[in-house]
Amino acid sequence: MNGSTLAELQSNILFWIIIALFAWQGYQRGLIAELVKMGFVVVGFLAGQPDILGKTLIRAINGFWFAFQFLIHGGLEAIATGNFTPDTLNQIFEEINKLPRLIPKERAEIAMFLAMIFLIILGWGVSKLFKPKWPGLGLVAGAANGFLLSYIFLPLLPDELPFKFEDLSPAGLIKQILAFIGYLIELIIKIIGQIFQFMVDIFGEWTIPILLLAVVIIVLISLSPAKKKSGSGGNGGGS
Amino acid sequence: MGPFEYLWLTVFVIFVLVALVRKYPDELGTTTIIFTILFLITFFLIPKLPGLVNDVYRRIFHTTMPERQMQHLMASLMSLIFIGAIFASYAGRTFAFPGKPAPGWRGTFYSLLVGMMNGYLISGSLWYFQDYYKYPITDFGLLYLPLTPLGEKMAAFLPPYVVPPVFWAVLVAIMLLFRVRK
Repeated sequence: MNGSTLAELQSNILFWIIIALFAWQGYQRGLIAELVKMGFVVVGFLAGQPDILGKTLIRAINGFWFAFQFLIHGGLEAIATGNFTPDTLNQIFEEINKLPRLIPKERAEIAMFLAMIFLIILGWGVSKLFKPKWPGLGLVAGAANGFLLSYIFLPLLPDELPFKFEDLSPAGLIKQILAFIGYLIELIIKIIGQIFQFMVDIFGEWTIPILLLAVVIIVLISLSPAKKKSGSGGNGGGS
Repeated sequence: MGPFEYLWLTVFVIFVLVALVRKYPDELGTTTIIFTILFLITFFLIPKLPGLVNDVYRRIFHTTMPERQMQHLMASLMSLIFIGAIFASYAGRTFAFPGKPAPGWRGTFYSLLVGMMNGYLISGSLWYFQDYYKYPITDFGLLYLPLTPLGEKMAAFLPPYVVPPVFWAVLVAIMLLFRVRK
């Protein structure tokens, strides 16, 4: 079996697995949750398409960024004091025109992709808030969601396999498995590197502090408060 | 990858595994201690200690301490203080956070996240003490320079280089607020 045929077969298998998984989830969560999720997936998909919503979204984000810069570079003061003269405005615009865009052109593609992922994850999170109703219809809507996500993500998989099934001896198989693990690690590092670079472009030297703060807050919020024990003198945490 | 990167990666992976075993409410206690000790080291010790040591040395030997000797002393001292604090955070009665961890895969994911953060902070800070004091460890032939291009890139993102000293104190304050909440 050559590489491309095997890749097609794997892609088809993956397609049906994704649909089955989402249909099963749809059955558990019900129709309304799945419809909400579908809305987010569709908007996310459109946000990932440069010609439909992607470029508009990037322009909007950059626009908001410039509006914010306008306010902090004297615009807010001008509005508050009523000093809205052409000279003041010229001075502010001269200053903010020198600033780089929040999302430069060369980072627009990854920004659209991240926006798409964010909306899809957000949809998945929001859909959990709804009570399960009409599981049968939820199954159908879940399958449709699976289809949509397969349509979005399966074409992103490489056309050729990162390894070849030529040598089926134990040593050959181990070599191929190692090659596949190496490929996955490289892919993960590449994706994390791109996201990190994107964040560095936006937040500059504050990237790491912001990441640390985000991790700390997310993790601390996830801890549900401990139940008080009757008669206990404190919550000294021995492990 | 060069020797520094491999050592960094090994320490990083070990702490990720430790976090997966201990679960994140326990690991957050270690994180708090790391933030505290990094604040003390970067805010007080690194700016003040060399001057203090030089004063004592001058009074005893009537000369200033040679620069390389000072770099050896400082790198070793900072590393020892830091390792001591980490050890204390794991030994005996620990500074664990109260509360139930998230169930299922979310709990594992948070443990992984905290493990990665602790791993980055610990291995990154130990590397920083070498980088800041011009790699005194290379004089013993244990590790060697130059760093690979990847190593150079990684060295630019070592925790004390990219986090202002006062920010460690802010993180400690946030951790303590959550630690004492009812």
